[in-house]
Amino acid sequence: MTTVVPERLTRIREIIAENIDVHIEFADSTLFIDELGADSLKLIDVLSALEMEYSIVIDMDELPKMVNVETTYQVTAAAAGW
Amino acid sequence: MSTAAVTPAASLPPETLVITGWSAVSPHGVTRQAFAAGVRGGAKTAVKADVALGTLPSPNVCTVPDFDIPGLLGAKGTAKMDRLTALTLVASDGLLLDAEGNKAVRTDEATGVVLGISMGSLENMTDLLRQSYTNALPFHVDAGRIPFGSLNHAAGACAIRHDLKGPNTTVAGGRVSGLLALNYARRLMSQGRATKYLAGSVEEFSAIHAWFEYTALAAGDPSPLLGEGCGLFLVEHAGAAERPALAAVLSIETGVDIDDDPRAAVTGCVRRALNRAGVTADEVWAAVPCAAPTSAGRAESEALAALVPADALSRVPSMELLGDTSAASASFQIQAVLGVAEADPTSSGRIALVSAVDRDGAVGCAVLRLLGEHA
Repeated sequence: MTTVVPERLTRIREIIAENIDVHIEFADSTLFIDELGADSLKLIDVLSALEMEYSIVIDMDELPKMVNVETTYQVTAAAAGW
Repeated sequence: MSTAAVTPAASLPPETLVITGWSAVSPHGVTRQAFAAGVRGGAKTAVKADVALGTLPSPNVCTVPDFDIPGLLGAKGTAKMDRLTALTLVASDGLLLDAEGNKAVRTDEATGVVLGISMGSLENMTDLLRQSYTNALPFHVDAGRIPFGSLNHAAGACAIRHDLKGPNTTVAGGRVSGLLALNYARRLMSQGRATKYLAGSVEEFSAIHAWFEYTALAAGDPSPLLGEGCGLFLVEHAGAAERPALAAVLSIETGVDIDDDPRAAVTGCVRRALNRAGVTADEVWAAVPCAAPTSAGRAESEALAALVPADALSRVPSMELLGDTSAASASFQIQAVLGVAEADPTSSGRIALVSAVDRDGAVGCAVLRLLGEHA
């Protein structure tokens, strides 16, 4: 398990909120699709925005794991080598 | 002045295309009323460009004032929306909704949308291109903005917003595109493909648009004062119109200036349009050229001056006051005529003529009969 860096978590949360178009507070365990109404297209937007933000490449196979902020952080951290 | 023979809308052939509503999001403001009042008052719309736009070839712009996209359309779905789509959606709301936001116009499965553009949202497309070239990898682009970069996005978004399931089309023809859109609607309605249409044209201002225009300047032409906005019409057949007709579209003619002689091309196009409409140049009550700040625009004005009565050309204040609104211009020209006509009881039954010319050689002309009723 990667150690969570608070500044990175905050930024990833912002990127997620912007890309799945959510304007309410949500927990790190809140599910994007089931609880926030996101669809697969929005999740690709999230993946793409994270790649651009950190100049990394996230394998498309990782997309199904990105179900909430916590797992998205882990996927990003693994791709970035944090 | 003699009284014109007034043709009531009810006596028109049922297949005549009539304009039964319009909306304008323009440098005069986001409402039809602001546009009409601004045009009638001859108000200037140029303002000093926002510093956030950076260095521009011309310090002044004619942008839509107070155009706050989330404020006008809501926060949901607008974070990455391009300005062109937003201008279109606000104009479509103005056309189809009442002041409380309820639907005020009946639409059905066969209500179409046709939108005239020039190059779509240049800002969106060039931003994506820039990201692709300058970021670490070529696919490191803002994927959420890609759908807004397609040329037909604004027309599609308009149909989705208002559940319009008829033919959905985008036509690109520069300053002529507003007339191309109206003609497209006329043609598909005459073939029974649609019962009514939202037809119009749109242009957005951006710094990149200003620089594109600057690089295309002919030697000696000043850097243009650019405008933006969206003009939309609701068009129906006279025999099936559910709202009072404001004007009948008697003819729309388009052509291409293949001899590099825009004056002759406009003259020929206007003559064809008048012939097809069955009216003479002397009958023209109001004539509005696009007034493009180019040699083609100047040739267009000269062509009209040689054809129609002098007072027809001064009936509607110059479109220069809105800046060069490019693809939106022809729609704004027709709306300027309607705005002037609605305040002039002598306009009913009179003939209006709108022409357009683009630097690429496209020319167009529409002839309308004004039908607005006055108390």
